[in-house]
Amino acid sequence: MLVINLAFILIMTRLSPYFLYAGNGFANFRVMLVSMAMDSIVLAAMVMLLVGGMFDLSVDGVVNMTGVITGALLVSGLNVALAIAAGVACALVVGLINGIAVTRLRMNPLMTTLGTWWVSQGIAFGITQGISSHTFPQAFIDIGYAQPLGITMPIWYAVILLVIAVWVLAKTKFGYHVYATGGNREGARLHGVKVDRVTIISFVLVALASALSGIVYAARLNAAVPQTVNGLNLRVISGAVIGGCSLNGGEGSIIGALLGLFFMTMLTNASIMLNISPYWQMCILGVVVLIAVGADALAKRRIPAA
Amino acid sequence: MSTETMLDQAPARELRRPLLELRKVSKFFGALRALHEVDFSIYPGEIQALVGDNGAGKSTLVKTISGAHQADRGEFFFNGKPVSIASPDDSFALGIATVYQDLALVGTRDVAHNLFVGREPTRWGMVDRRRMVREARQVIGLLNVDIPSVDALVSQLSGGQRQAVAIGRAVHEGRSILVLDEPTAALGVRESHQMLTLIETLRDQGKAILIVSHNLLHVFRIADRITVLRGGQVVGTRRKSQTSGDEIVKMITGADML
Ligand SMILES: Nc1ncnc2c1ncn2[C@@H]1O[C@H](COP(=O)(O)OP(=O)(O)OP(=O)(O)O)[C@@H](O)[C@H]1O
Ligand SMILES: [Mg+2]
Repeated sequence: MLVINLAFILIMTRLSPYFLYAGNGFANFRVMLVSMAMDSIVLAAMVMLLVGGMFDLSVDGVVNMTGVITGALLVSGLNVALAIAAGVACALVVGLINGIAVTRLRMNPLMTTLGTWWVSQGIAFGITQGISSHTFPQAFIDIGYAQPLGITMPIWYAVILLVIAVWVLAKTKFGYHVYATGGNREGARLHGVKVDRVTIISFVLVALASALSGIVYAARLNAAVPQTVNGLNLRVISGAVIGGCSLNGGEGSIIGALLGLFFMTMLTNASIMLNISPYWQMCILGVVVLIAVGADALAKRRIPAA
Repeated sequence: MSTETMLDQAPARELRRPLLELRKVSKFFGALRALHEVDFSIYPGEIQALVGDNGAGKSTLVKTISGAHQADRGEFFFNGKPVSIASPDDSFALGIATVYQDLALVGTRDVAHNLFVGREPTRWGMVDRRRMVREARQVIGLLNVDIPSVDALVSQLSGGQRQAVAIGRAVHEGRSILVLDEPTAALGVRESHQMLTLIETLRDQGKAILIVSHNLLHVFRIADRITVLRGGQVVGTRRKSQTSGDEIVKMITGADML
């Protein structure tokens, strides 16, 4: 993946110097980094969920819902901390519902998280009634735009969350249990791994990361729009899978997923630079995802799991 | 003939207290009665074999002992004291370790982790990978089987090597009782022989061993006592010295016994 990424950068730099460095000091690359950072907030938690053998389609809805709830409360005059707490609490509820539904109630994760995506997206639309709230207090805007040490907030969030996620997955007992749960759920349970707890915690972490993402988006836009993100969820899951996370669980790493996401980000960006229409961009991204999933399936066939 | 009369005929050892005793244990899967009022004991320093046809309830009994299933009825006694085994952790706390028929390994993880799944040693809040690897090498060495390395992914091992990993895990963590559901099923002749010798060594160290096997040759080689299960019920328990392959086969199949 690293090699593919470097090759891609080289090719694109030849096609257009603006891709990497020309213009205002790596301007385009900085744009890509910030966009990747925004996605990485969710990616950090999503990788954990994927490695544990689950996935979550409700992310876009939760991001938008959290932004809208927090935004509406801010505009109504509530203080910043309380408005954020309320938004996060709603996201937490969605995460708990997802986790409990697929474990205790044995509901299908695809339909469950599709359902909660629908509900949370509906809440976002319902609250705004199509009218977005905007003009937030400076303290809130700083959450998205402050630049400690000259580095913009989304990069801070992304780096901190990714580092924590790498550490949790690779070093902690919880991380080991996530891999065991994804690799052989019943086997792990027989050995005393609390597999349901692992899954519920992972769903909650994805929801909380989505909440943070929604708040940061609202702060950066200085507006809470019910359709702030549309496609972030699939971009993150696709990036992770391209980067080596198996949808069957048990396999994958943060670093790999990040490289996959980087590739997806570059591909989107390059399509824009090369003036490919957004419709064809979708098509290209789709083909790349299909190739990645196909390669994953082929690899599976060669090495049957125990 | 009841179990009690058999025990009357077999003095000495049975006068000791069983390490684990099950009384009238029943287990249902919906309407299916997988175990019916099973009385069953395991003694320290003994190898107890459990035999029976496919679907007789052997694995179900194993899983109620390991905490993977909860018994619907019946009582458990450990060292004479009533205990409840409601989860794998309860069983672990009693020093019981189980090798499941399907091995319960995680193919996407390496040998070292598989020996410790659910019981990873930690240090400063992090998994102590060095200790895991060190102990994994010891366990593999003890089993005297040929496993490429403790870093090898379990999905890349042969069936026999996987079985060895599962058994290694149980040997490592079983402090009082080892429960082995078909431990030799995937092993070659030489490996089976080694495995049986290992099980005898563990018995001689004072551990109580429950072994499920379809291989009566193996059963007759190592078992001290043999219990036959049919249709979820105990048909009877025999000391090896007081029974024959013929009798056991008749008990298993239900053909006329007396
Ligand atoms: N999880 C389950 N749900 C429903 N029925 C089950 C379950 N596990 C076992 N059974 C049923 O319980 C009965 C006993 O099964 P068990 O696996 O204990 O047999 P066994 O003696 O181990 O057989 P084998 O020699 O084939 O391993 C069978 O009829 C089986 O279909
Ligand atoms: Mg069985």
